[in-house]
Amino acid sequence: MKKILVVDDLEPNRILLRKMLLALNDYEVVEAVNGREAVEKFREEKPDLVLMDIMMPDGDGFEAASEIKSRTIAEYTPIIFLTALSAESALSQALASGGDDFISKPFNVDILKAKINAHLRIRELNQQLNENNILLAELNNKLENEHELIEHFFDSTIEQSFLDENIIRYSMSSLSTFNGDVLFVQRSPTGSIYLIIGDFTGHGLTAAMGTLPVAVIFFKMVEENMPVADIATEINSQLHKLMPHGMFLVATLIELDVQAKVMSVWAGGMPSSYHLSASGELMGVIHSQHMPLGILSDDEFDSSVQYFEVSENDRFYFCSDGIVESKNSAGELFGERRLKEILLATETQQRFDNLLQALDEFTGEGTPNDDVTFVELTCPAKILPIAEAVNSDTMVCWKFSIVLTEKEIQSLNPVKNLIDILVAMPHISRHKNILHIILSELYCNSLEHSILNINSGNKQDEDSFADYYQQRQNGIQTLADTTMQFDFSTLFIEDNYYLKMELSDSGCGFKFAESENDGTLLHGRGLAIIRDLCEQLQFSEDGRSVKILYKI
Amino acid sequence: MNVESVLSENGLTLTISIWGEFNFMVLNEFRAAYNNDTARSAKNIIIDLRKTETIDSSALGMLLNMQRSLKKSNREIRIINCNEVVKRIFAITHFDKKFVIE
Repeated sequence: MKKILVVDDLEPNRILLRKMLLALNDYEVVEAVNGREAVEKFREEKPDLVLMDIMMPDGDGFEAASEIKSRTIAEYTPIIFLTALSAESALSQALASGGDDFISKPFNVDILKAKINAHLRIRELNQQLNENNILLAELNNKLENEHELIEHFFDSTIEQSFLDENIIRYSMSSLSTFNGDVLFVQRSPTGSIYLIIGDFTGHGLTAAMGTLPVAVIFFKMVEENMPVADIATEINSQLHKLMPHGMFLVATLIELDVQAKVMSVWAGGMPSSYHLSASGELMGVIHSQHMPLGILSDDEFDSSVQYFEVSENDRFYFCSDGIVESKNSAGELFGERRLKEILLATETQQRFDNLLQALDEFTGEGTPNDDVTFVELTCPAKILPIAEAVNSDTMVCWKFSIVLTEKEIQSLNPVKNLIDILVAMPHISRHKNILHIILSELYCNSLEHSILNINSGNKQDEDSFADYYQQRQNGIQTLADTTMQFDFSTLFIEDNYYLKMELSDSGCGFKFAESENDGTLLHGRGLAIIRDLCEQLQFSEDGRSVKILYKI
Repeated sequence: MNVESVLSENGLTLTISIWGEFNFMVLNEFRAAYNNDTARSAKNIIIDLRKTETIDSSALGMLLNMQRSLKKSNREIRIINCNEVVKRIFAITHFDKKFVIE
């Protein structure tokens, strides 16, 4: 029910208006007798429309109108003056004070009805508009929050990325990340540079969501030095499981092996990438060979990779389809051909900037290239050093022994089992690789020479080398009453900790005379390795027992 | 499978990778990787040890055997992605003078 405030100092006028209003419609009518009371009633009753006399004692209609209007800026509340004045100046003053219309006395019912209906209708439209604006503002806020969320996510994943500007230059707008563009770069522990550039189907939060598993898999597998075929397989498998049907990732995944100067590429659905030599010559075009990631099941997925030979300072250019699909004002596409022409026509140092500039000029100044990701990768001359974590623990002394019999020796890999036990001890794990070698050499020496009594002088050429290991295999199968006892302990000597390993076997021992080896013989290297890696190497019991000290 | 060999797109470079432990246990697989027509036609041989956790003296013998077997044609054998320990073994045994180790 609409509420109307009637303001008049004369009671008969108020009664008359009330009767007329009630006759017109089922209005709720409230009354005020002067301007001051009108403002109060307005505040209390919140009417939809005000009918206001002008000439009143104790606050005239103009004052009351401007007071009311100043309180209702956001919401349109019509004020209609009731006036016997006909002077134009009085009317214009009425409108200037904030009134919206006027009705001349004596009142005409039809005019009163028409004006009230018109103004209430305007008020209704105004209210709807306000509601819509509030809704829009809420949606806009939500969208901005989503943007911030995605930007935060991308900033933190980009921070994980390896972005040496001598090697990687990239252009990627925050809006393109919102559109599901993906770009991660990382170095592996052996110094290879891995890169994934891609573009999710779909837009907004849903598209950006998919980048989360991609980032997790990518960074983890690069840390493990996995080949691109395996990374592509894993990303495909996860996306296939996680993403809704019809959503997928077009992507190019590369590993640039800086040492070997070989690049391996898995490319699925992206525009072609370009390989240019340091002097600007086109060395090759990397075409997409596969379906995008996330479509095929594990059995259907093709992880085959292309290999390219690379030279120092070669450059690679990768882009999302945003570049080739950019349009100029005439609706013409930028296209792959134009991209290639610009890349080949410009000087190496300016190529990256020139392409982005050419794209700007093509689409027209002021048109933001929101959906564009473009990357230049330069093959560095050599691997960049990776800082190693330093570890300083307090030392605790311990010792233990293990006896192997023919049963363990016949098992697949007793040395590996011993190492696994040994590295579980404190302070050993970081020496795992070297200890593995030492233990393996000691074990082989004892097994092959003392226990099996095979002559390593037999390892003269490729075939006898193989025979030697065949003899070993055969010998192991027929072992009986054999033991190899390993004693491991830690020692503290002159401020240094050492691992002591003793190996005693049940064999016939061996002659531990230093074998001469100029590096061409196929045998006699094992002892030299042990001697170099350990602080001390000592044989006893005619070669049936050996003891080493290794500094930890 | 612990030994994998891959030929580059242009057919010039053969990359042999060894997974896990490089020792006599992979002797036959390793021999098969270079003892074939593809390997003989490749100009460069790369031994990629990125996935190799450890090697021992038998692996050194296997590398020497390979070098002898492929010596007739004048091709380069490079050993890449060695971890620190493997590099140290090559240095101790002076293999770094006989092979290109990167």
